Amino acid sequence: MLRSALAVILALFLAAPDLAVHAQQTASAPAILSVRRHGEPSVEFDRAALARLPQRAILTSTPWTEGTISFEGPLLRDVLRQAGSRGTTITAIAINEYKVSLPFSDAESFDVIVALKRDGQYMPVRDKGPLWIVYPLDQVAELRTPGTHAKMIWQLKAMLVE
Amino acid sequence: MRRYLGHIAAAVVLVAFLAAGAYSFVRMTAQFGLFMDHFRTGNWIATQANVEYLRLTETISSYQADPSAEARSDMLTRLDLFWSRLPLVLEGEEGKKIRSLPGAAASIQAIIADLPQLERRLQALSGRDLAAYRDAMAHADSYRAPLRDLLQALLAHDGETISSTAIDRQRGELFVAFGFVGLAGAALFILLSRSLRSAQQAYDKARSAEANALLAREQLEDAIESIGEGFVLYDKDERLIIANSPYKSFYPTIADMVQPGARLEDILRTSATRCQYQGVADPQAWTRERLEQHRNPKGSLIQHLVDGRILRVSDRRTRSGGIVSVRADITDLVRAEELLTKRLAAIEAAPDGIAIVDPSGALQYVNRSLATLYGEKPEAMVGRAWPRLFALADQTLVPRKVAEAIAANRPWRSGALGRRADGTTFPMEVGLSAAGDGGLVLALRNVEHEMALKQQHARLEHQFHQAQKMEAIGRLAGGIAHDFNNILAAICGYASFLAEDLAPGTPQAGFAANISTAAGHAKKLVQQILAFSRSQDIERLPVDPKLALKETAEILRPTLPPTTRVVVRDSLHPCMVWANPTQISQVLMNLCVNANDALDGRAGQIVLALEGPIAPPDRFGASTRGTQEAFTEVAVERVGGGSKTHATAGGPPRHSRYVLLTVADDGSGMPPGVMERMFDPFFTTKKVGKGTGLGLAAVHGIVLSHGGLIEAESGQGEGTTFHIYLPVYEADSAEAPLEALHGQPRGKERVLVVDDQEMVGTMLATNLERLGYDVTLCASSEDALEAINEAPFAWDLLLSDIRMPGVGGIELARSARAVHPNMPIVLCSGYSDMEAESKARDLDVTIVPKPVDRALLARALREALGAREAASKAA
Ligand SMILES: Nc1ncnc2c1ncn2[C@@H]1O[C@H](COP(=O)(O)OP(=O)(O)O)[C@@H](O)[C@H]1O
Ligand SMILES: [Mg+2]
Repeated sequence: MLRSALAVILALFLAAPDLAVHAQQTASAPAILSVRRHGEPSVEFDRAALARLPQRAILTSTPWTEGTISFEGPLLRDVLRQAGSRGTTITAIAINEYKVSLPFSDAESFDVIVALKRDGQYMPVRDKGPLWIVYPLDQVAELRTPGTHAKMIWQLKAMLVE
Repeated sequence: MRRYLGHIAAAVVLVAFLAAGAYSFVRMTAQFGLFMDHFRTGNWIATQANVEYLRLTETISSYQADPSAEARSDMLTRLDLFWSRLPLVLEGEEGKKIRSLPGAAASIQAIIADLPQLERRLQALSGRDLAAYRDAMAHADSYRAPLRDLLQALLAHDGETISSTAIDRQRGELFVAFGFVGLAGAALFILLSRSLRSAQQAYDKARSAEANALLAREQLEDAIESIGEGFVLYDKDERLIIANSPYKSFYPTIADMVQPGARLEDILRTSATRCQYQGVADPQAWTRERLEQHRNPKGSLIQHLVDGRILRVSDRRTRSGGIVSVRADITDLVRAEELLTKRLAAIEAAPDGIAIVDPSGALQYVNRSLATLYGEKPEAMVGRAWPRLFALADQTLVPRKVAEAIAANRPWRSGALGRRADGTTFPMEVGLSAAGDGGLVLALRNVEHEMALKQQHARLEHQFHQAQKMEAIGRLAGGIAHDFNNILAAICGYASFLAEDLAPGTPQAGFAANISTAAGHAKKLVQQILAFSRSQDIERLPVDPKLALKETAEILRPTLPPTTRVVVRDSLHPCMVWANPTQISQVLMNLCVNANDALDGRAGQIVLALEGPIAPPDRFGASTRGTQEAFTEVAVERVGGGSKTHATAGGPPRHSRYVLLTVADDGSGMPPGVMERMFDPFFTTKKVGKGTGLGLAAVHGIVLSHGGLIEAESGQGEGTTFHIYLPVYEADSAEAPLEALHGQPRGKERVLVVDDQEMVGTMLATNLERLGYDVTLCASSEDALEAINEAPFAWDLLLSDIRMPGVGGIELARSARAVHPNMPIVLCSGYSDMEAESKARDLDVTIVPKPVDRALLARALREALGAREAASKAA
């Protein structure tokens, strides 16, 4: 546990800004999420594209918020499927280049969502938006660990699947 | 025993303490991980806030360095990110610990409340408003201390939290354990606490010093990174300490080498072997040399990289014995310098004179062309006031004009007169424009040559027009004269018949004589016209000029008033000219008549001189032979500085030797205006009836058609001299000059006369009858052909005009020869028709010019008949 927390801090400092995310602009609205399988061109999602996928709500508390919050957004596995990406590890990257690795199996095993809304509102960058990976912490007891907390990356902008 | 008791007690206390300590240690360790996660996540939030804060300040600096839209959006995103980190302190489980710190929540809330103000400031940043940047930075800086304090407070608080949270829950158990050893432990603690506390203090101090050093170093690295120059620092062992990214970008081939700890020598060697620089022949030697330069830095040196970039490298020793080396990319600077040098060379090589004038008006730079134009050395001209380049009259005027133009914000351009130091002047075209510094840029060009060319061009054009005019008038006059000539021939012919037939002494005989005289004048006039229009067929013979002069002088003398003295000088070495004798006397007559007119009744003399043979004078141009067309235009120019004018016509000379015939008078002379036009047909200054304006036109036409040259010199009141140059006849075997005509040969042969013009035909027929011939007259060639075909041998000779409507004379002659191959034929040619004439010659016929001269005709007939006789005799 100590180690995972240190890893987070370390990753924060070593974040490399050179991860190439090739834009493949399909819609005119700006892309907010880019998913790329290693060695393949990236797939870009704008907000509308994410909103078109089946939406799922998770009611949960988090270590960074007060009370129970309703997070809303597509399932992570739907997003990955839409992007046509399969693999074993997902490297999630935040706007500030913070990186964290999630096992690909998390997306299958749990109803992890890529949250678009918090209590029905889109989230600005100032409020950890526009995207936040949310695990159903309150629903699944085994997820209530600092390890899971670390994987709940906010201000998500890209995912690299390997 | 007592002594040992204390030891035993201490041992027991120690053992009990250790046991209790061990027990609680095991309990605590079990909880420790959990606690640490908890505590560290709290720290993590504070650390993140600090890091995002630093990144924000960094992007503000970047935006100031490069105010691009990209940098701006980066900066605003960083603000959002920083902003998003702060609420974590205020809500949620993870922020709990920070919130528990006294004042922490309040300071974070204060920052959040202040952030919209910072945001406004950042959004207002633009371009180059340095003050605004400074203010924004200062504003952002106000967060630095609270954020850092928060982090430090958290670190210090960790220990406290351990005891206050976890230990609380184990207090009971621990109190039992500590119960046994309370006092003993207290005693032991008292013993140890002193040293412990001082150790703790030393540790804290070191820690904060380290944190400060780290921060300072980070700031230094930021500063080094943000400069545009390449920067590298080696320590005294020549190991790399730090190199910024511009440095790395200058040397992409050794990017992998540029790491802290790398040895200078290795870096140098690698860069030499990887061909980093231009012109490195021996990498080993280069490395040694460069290392030497590094170790003993002497200012700066220039490096040429293979990618074309040029760097200025400055090495310097640091106080601690290291080496700091800074590289500036001076590629653009060097290229600009090169371009400047090239431009300067171009200016130096320009054919126009170019000068730069400093604000005080002195020449600062003068190019070679300008100096050459002024016949000086450029150095000698520098410092001179620029108006002195101009002629005296322009020296005040031009600067005023230039000042006006420059005040109106435009360059000044004009023609002006330049003046050299030796006082000579030349026309030039000058342009002056303002140079940025209040000085001037001056460009000038000598247009002397151009102007001369322009003048020459104008003169040639004038001459061309003149020649065209002459030709047009000539053609017109020639055409009329030709027809007129035919009429005159008839008048003359009949008048002479009358004069012969009428009894002498009767008034009728006198009338006839008058008709003859008047017609004779008319004939001469026509002769003049035909001469200048050169439309007359002329027969040329070798003529002795001495004889021609003598004859003319003899004819002339009686016609001149006694007050006019005629002086004849003949120094000509005997020679001939190929000429028409009638025309030669016409030339002499015309010139003499003019000379006499110029005397205007006053006493004076006319000199007729004959000299030579001589070479043609140079003023007629380079001597050429044959090919070139003779000039027919007249060139007039003033002689020396005097009042006389000089005119020439003809040339360039096509012969090597000329006979010079001079007619000079001491009469009124001519002003230049008259000289220019005197050869024009119909130009006269004399009264109507006296002058015809044809005299000199005829002279011009005749002399030039003989391949001769004319030269005239005159001035008002200074008399006039005409020089006529006629080419010497250079025959292989000099033919005897034509003997004087005498007695008209007569004959009795049958002659067929053909002429479409009845009057002319009848006149010819009568003429031949008078000479004894048996004449038949036909009015057309068709009639004549019929007559010949009927009885080819009824005729001994055919006399026909060439120009006739329908079948012409040539055609007729050819047909006649077809039936009568030996028939002698004489053709009259009245108009210049070279083609007809050459055809006629092929036919072997005799040609006589019109108007037909009686004597000539008589002779031509006899010759033609004689040739036939000779031919038939030979046969
Ligand atoms: N010897 C001369 N002295 C002065 N003027 C002359 C002389 N010869 C020619 N001129 C001038 O040249 C003009 C043209 O001469 P010319 O062609 O012979 O015509 P014309 O004699 O009929 O006027 C004259 O009118 C006269 O003004
Ligand atoms: Mg005359």
